[in-house]
Amino acid sequence: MNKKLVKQISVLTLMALTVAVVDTSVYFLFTNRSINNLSQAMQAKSIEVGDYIPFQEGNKNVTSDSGIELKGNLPVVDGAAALLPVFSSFVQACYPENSVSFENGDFTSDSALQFHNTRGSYQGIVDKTADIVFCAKPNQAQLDYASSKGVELELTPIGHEAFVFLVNKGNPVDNLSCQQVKDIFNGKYTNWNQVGGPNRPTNPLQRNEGSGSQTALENFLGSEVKTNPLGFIGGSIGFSFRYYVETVVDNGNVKMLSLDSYYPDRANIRNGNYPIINDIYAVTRKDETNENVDTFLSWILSPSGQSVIEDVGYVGV
Amino acid sequence: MNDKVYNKLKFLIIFLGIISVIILLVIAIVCFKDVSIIEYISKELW
Repeated sequence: MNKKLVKQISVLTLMALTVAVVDTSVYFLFTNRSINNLSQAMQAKSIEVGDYIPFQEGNKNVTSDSGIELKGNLPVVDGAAALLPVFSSFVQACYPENSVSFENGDFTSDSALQFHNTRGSYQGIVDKTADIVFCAKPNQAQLDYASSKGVELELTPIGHEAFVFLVNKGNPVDNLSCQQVKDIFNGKYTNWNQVGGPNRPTNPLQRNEGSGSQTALENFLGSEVKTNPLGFIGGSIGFSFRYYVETVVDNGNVKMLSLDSYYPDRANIRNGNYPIINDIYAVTRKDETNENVDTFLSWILSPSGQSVIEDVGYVGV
Repeated sequence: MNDKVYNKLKFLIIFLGIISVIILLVIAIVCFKDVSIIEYISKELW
């Protein structure tokens, strides 16, 4: 083999390897981390709705003998993904068995139980396609939408939950102060080494406007999130609610951060040590006349209803 | 290998390299706004 041929083959091989390395880097840095949250697959990952169909054998609902069975005009129940295990268990405890219908991966239109997540639920309670929805606090746009339709919402706290911040399991940072978290999200800190971590840009993430956790983030920060231009090569920090992370998603590659040295577990929610504890609400219309709504709400706030919340994994009021 | 073939192979590798990066970036950008926070964080390399 002559020298020229060896050189040509070497150059071509080097070029091919460079392309392979660049492609692999682009894939792991960008493509692999982007997931279509609106796709059927991601919707299914939001929560496995099929696991929480009331009255279905083998479901994951908490069983409770409420001592009541609602009859007549049954309130339509809806809510957030993180609370589906709670309100589905409520329905199972208080509604007649034939009131829920689930076909082809969705609740049918005549079912007393629906699932449209936070944004759809707040629209539903205003548009009167739902009568009681279980969600975190609404954002200003959702309150404005209710006002524009002449609907006044009543928020009844039924439990407590920790609003948590998440990082990759490989991130050595385990604890941040509330101020440090705010400073990461408002752009004051742009590198993890400013909060005791490695030399790597911070990447504060956001969710869709109107989602329960995005509203909770905005309430906590009191200011707008400032994204880091170098965030795409950095280490991300996200947010959610404890139960959703621990139980519904249960992704072993993410971890919840302690805030002000308090880990977001049930004990620190109950004793109030964890610094960001949010109420979870049963939301109804103030002018609701269906007596079943009051009966249902009263039971939820009773020891029997509260035990369902505790047994699911939340902290009662 | 004559120079013509050599140059064509070089061009082909560069062309495929650029096209593949563009495809990967387009997939990433198109899907970026709908990212799931937990999935996104879990796929980071540390």
